[in-house]
Amino acid sequence: MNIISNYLKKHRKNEDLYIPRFHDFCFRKINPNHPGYIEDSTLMLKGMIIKQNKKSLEDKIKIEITQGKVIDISMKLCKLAKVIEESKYILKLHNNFDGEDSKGYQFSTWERVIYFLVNYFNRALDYQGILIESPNIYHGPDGSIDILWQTERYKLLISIPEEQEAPASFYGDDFKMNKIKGTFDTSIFNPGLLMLLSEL
Amino acid sequence: MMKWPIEVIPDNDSVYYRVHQSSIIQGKIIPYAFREIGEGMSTDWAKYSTPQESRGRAKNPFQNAIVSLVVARLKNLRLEVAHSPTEKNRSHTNVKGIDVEIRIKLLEIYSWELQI
Repeated sequence: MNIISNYLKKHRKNEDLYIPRFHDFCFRKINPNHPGYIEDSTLMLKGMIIKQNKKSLEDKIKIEITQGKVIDISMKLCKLAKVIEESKYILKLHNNFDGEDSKGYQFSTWERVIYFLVNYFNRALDYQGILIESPNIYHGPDGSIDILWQTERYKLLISIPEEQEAPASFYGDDFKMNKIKGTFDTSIFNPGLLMLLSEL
Repeated sequence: MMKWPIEVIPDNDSVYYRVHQSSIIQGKIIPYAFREIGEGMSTDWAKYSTPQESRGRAKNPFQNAIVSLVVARLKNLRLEVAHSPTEKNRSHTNVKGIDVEIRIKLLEIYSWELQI
């Protein structure tokens, strides 16, 4: 053991250098008044390509899914990009990764999670103007992957199953009377989740 | 014939649960930790086990932490807490009914007994 520890250890080892730089870079890129504002550049940090399009006022982050396969997201979602990068540890968990016969994880499950999150965050931002707080992405039971939000105001757990056609299941509440629970198709935008995530 | 009788576990009692190190990230237990395998989520009734004994039953004891869960709080989550002694383990208890709601709620009610 342990793949997770080693991954995070390695990640954390670089964190002092990496995280502040990354966030500072995000900040500089989206703020033209910042003295460090960079007008046109491409930079790759730990698999993420940060690129500014000259013709666009908004920078994009390219998230590398596999070699040569990238997806664009707004620079405003740079925290989500960091979470996605960290979640790649899941791809290194194979069958019996814990010595207790637990099931490993399929690339297709992880990919489904990433596309769901990116599409959902983009949709909330572009159409609703809502910047959703970034979740954590963890390995789940039986080859599923968990997406977890834990804040002072609410908690929400979405479980994406290994079976590609099976719906995701979720539960969330605001620690008071408002609760949501059910299943949904990850390829279709579900505004119900946004009610909790966007402090409406 | 079973060596040990099946008993009703009082609400105020606790059960111990092993949490493998792969379910602990940055010092916090993740929802993956709480899951059913076979007949349920396998725990040990504190009446017949210590945290050290529970840890000792793991394949790799020193890769496991032990947490405790109060039975009343499990029942409040509509979970079934079924004493299921085995030949080698009188304390063995299955917790049944875990779903996505329960997994996130269990994160709020466990107590550390032994950390890794």
